[in-house]
Amino acid sequence: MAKKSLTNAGNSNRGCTQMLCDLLDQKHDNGAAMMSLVDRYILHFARLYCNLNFHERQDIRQEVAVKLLCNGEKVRENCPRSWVYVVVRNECIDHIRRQSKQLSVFKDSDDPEAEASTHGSMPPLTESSGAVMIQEVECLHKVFDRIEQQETGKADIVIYTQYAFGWSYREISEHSNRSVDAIGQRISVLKNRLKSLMNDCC
Amino acid sequence: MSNKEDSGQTGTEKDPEQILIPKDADEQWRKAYHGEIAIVEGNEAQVDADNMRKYLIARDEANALSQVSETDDLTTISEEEAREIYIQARKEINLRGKNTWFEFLKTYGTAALIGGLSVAVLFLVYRDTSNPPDSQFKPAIEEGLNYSDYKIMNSDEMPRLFPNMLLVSGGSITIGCVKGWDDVAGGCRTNEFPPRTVNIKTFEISQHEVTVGQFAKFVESTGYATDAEKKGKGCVHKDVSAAGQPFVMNTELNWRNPGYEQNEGYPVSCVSWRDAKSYVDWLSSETKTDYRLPTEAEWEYAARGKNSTAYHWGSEASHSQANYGGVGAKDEWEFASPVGRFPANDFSIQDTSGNLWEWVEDCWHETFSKAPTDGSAWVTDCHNSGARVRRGGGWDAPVNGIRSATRSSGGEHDRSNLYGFRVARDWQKPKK
Repeated sequence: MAKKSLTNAGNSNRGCTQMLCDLLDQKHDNGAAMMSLVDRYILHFARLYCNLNFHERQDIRQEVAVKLLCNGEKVRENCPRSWVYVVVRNECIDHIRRQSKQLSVFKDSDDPEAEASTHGSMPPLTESSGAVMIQEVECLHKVFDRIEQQETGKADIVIYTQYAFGWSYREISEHSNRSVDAIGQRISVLKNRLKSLMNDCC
Repeated sequence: MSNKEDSGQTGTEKDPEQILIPKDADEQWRKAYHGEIAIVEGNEAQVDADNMRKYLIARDEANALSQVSETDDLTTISEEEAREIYIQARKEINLRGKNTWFEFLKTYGTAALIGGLSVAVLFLVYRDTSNPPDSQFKPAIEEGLNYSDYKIMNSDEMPRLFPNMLLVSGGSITIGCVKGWDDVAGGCRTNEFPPRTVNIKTFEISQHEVTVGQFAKFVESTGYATDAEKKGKGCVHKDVSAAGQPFVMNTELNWRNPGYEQNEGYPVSCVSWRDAKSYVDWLSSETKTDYRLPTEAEWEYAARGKNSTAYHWGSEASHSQANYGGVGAKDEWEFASPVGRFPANDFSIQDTSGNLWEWVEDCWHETFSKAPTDGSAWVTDCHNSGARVRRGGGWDAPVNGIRSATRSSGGEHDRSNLYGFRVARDWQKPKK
């Protein structure tokens, strides 16, 4: 499912670009579709990673709007949805860190010029980007799909992803029902868990 | 052991790039996965971990995109709201641009903290000056609200044994029909007038309607027989086989068999206001907490999700947002749909619009003219003895029947496969 969606995302840049232009130029729907997309990304983060209340979500939305207006001109010709995702994700992470009075340490850039090299997007699977890389990604798909099917799999993947975002054990613990030690344990066994699953699945 | 030895190199020269790499491969893997270190090409542990990190982020992005692409046609923000967001963002940019201190601090890396505080203050200022009058929700600033105690359920989660309660912060709102906002899709009904501003205390309400599974637990525990089950009285349904499709009593129907297929994740229907009250009493006793039905004002406040528009998502009905008459987009159900299948409003509450009418505490009044302004249940001077209020519209409703202001009445013992309910309770300020 993830692979298919990534491919779809690549095809939807045109729609995203149009939505951004409507926001920047205040034409057609005044950017309502773009801000609805932003809302859905915020809700995605609120549901999976941090329990944001309405006021927080509204503040994040407004701050994302500022970022889109400030940086949008750079991607006016081609605005990938993944860039909007990165802007929203960074703002959500910044928000919860501001709440806990911690400064951002590890964060991918939401500057569209820096995005290509830093935002962590997977190489497009439909292009010939190397058989080895495709095999590796396919393997990771299988492994994480297998993890997701396990009893606590969905919750585990949330933790793994939060760690990949650069969250600390404590931050993850604060947004889940597990202790700091339990988070550390979960992360520390992941490497071996992956190895074993890769042997089974790939 | 040196890093060169780690990587299998020999010789006496040190590779400056690898000096700072942690010795332990597991530690390198963990740090690379966490994004803490720059990846050194050729270092297998780091490259593997970095690939996995990128994969997980891309997977999350794909999931987010997948959710969005399912609802590509959805625009939950109106053109007016988008315009408002744009104006506020422009003002914010101008203010920040004029603030040399902000620029100075930005240069030295503390802008994130200062900016966050500035944004919070400015938003508070501009909210009050740019909102439309009367119809706009005005939040109360209340200390001690801890949203992290309330978990929002995802659409793929089966409802638990008891309703999942969410916190709704208090504020003031105009309930009823406000001209220019609510009178869409055929206009408002006379019983939605006059619009009335009420102050709502912070309270809790269930994310979904009470489900079949939750109601079954109550019946199992108590042996309770619903009004529809007593002496086989039955439940009202729409007889689609008869001319004019009249609503008629069917003695074979009750909450277990409402006339359409269901499972435990569906909202319980064929329940009367009295049945709903009995469930609430049992739930209170079972959980040692005082549950109740929401008041009518609370219900509308929660259903609007802080929006002034006719529906919580905007000014036009959409089958991508709710289950009502007909099918299309996400709405694939001819009858009731399982709870939690449609987008939540800004309070994270689902299914207020359509699916089932929901009983509230208040008795019926033909207008809002003397409704309490403190958000409490209006249970005096009732228009018709024994008549209660139901809100939100059902799965058969036309587009103007699922507006947030839509209201109707029913007898305390009336039951239909269009009627259900959700629960509420007072919020208790935590003791310091």
